[in-house]
Amino acid sequence: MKLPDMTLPSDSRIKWFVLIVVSIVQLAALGYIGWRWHNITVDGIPYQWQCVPRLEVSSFGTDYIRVVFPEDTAPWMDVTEPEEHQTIYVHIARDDKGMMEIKGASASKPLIGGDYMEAKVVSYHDGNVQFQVGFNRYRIAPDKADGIYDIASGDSVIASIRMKKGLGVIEGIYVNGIPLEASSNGAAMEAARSERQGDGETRSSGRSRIVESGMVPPKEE
Amino acid sequence: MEHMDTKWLEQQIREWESRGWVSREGAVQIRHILETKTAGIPLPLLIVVTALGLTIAGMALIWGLSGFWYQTSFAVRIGLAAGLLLFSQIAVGAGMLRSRQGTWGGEVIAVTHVLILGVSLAIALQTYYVGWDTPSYLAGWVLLSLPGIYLLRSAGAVILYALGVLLWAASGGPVNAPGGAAFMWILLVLLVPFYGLLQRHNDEIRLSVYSWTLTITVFAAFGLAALDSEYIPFLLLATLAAAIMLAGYSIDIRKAWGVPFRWFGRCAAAGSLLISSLPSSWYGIARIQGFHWTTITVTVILFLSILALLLKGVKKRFWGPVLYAGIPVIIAAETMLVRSGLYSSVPLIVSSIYLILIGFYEMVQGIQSGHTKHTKFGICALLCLVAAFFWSGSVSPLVPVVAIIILALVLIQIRRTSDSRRDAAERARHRTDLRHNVTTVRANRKARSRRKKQPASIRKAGSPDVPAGQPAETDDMADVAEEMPEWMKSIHMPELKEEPEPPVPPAQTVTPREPELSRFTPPVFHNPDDIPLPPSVPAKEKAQAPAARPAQHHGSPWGSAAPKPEREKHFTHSPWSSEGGDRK
Repeated sequence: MKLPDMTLPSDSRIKWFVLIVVSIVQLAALGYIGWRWHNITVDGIPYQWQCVPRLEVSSFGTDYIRVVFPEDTAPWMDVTEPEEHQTIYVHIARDDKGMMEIKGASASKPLIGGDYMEAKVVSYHDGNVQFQVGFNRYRIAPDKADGIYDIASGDSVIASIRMKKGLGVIEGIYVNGIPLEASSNGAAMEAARSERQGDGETRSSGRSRIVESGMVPPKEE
Repeated sequence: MEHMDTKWLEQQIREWESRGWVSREGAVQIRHILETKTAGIPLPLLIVVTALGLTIAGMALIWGLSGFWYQTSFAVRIGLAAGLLLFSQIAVGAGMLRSRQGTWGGEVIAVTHVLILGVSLAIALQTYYVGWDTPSYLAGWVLLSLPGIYLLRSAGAVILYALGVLLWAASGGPVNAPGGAAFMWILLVLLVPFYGLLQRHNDEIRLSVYSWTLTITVFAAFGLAALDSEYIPFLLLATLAAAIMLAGYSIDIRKAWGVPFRWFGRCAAAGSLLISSLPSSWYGIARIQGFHWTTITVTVILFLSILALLLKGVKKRFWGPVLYAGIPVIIAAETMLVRSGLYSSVPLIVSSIYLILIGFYEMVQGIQSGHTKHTKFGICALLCLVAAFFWSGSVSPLVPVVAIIILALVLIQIRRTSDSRRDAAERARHRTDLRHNVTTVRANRKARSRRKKQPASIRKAGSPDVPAGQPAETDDMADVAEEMPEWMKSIHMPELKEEPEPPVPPAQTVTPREPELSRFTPPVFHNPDDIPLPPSVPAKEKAQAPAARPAQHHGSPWGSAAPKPEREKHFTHSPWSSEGGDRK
């Protein structure tokens, strides 16, 4: 079986050129991943969407929580039924309150002007497709994740999301308008600590006020 | 006790070293071996314990670092990922600089690079999280690791690449990939030039690893991709199998790396034929609206490659490859029949008969050439067909059994008839070659007897062809050859050739060997008169003693033995000797 000769001569500069190009491409791939995230957070369109945060369980601990979006069904806009795990495009818009509104889902992107988000098909039934979006994590410090326990059923939990080209990044989670981090024990302890420090500072400042500068003996020359 | 033994052995080694019986390096080696052998824990157990310990230590380290990891910023994380990747890239460059391509060192570097690449990508994707998609991650990983395989000519990296493709296919990658399942084939085709690279370097071990890995990956990936399909793509499987099998046949039959191509291709082709002989497998084909364009394209490409391999690659082994290359053709024809709306049993019957034919062909191949694998494969194919019919339940399993028996009988009868025809033709040919009858045989016999009567000297004189210096055996053989009838000469007699005299070596090249000095001492013969006679003995005894008894001179114990006294003879008469008187 004759195949094209892929051997690079040992003294050839081509192999070094190939290595350099490959190295640049590999590093660029890492760079692209970071740039994409930053681009979404900076340049993405902000949306607000109802969510339910869940603690993530891991053997080595985590620095994020799982975010579930209850509104995960949409009317299927195409004729051909979607397959399971197929990537679809959920057509979205904003209502008067600034909340995300789902218009429908399709296998193709909407026309110019329409916003969308990428999702995977979970199931399809009676013209409605159940989907799952990719941005289902919110990064939070481990000591500030316990605010989830204080969320009641009647609370309004909103995820602030930035969307661009179908991809999204969760900027923050707000429980009744208060950030989730703020309602944690870690935040309370931090506030108490800062308050204590503040008290200390005021006390020390008071003390300084008590001990006037003029009362300090001058340095001996 | 053990300590004492070690001390004694150490003393011994030192002594040997001082006497010069072993060199310094040898002594070091002996000490090393002794240390290894006298160590308390055996080496395999030591390795297991070390591996276990390292694993536990690694887990503990990760656990400990995870606390710090969650406090590190994004920049540190991506910096770590990029640093690791850069380190592995420098290692690849160093490996290339030191010409480690196709060596164990190159393998280690390439595998490490591929793994680090995967880790770096995972760190980056998890840090800058916009959603985790396993197929996308795997596709990116395998594509970015591909150049490392070629740069360092690594079979280990090929295995990792194949694993990545399999995981990609198993995690539903073909669903969202551009081109669907075609992307999987593209990923696998990207490995094909690596075969040429290994072949140029004649790297047989890596070629074997490569061929096994690629063959298993191709069929496993095909199976995984087919799981999500609405129908069983046995036409594509048959074309793929035939192409792979023919590729295997285009490789030298003595090379080990052709085996997986040939056997996996053979099994897959027979398997696709078996699937096509079941009615349920055709329901999906009949139900779908049409084949995907990628499926059609891949099938056409594979058909073209089959044709090319048949025309160019496969030359010596013709019938086997042609028989298997016929499988996709038959299935394609059956598919067209079903797709055109003609639902009948013809595809099932044709596929079954063809599988039976292949089964018998393989069995005959195995019996004739002594390769039992072919026989087993043929039997297995036939048994699978019977089992498939039994399992499908649409047709009685007795049908293929009866068909197999009938076909076996037909084949045996054909074989027997052809054998008897061949024997008859052989006999006829032999008969035409024997141009003698009773008259010629008798005439020859008379001539032979006449020759025997002539004296040998006359015969020798009358035969000038025989050289005088020829040995007697050759003369006899020539006589026998002459005495033979003409028809026997043409059959049995080898041609009498004069043996050429051995070439005389040139005088210059032979150095005469000096005669060895003999230690032989010539015997001294004395005049019998000079030999002193033994002391005189009585005449009686002298007469009884033998004439020459040299043993007496040497003092033999039997020489001085006293002569035996004469025994008196007592003649006895038979009691019946006097009976009957003078009657006779």
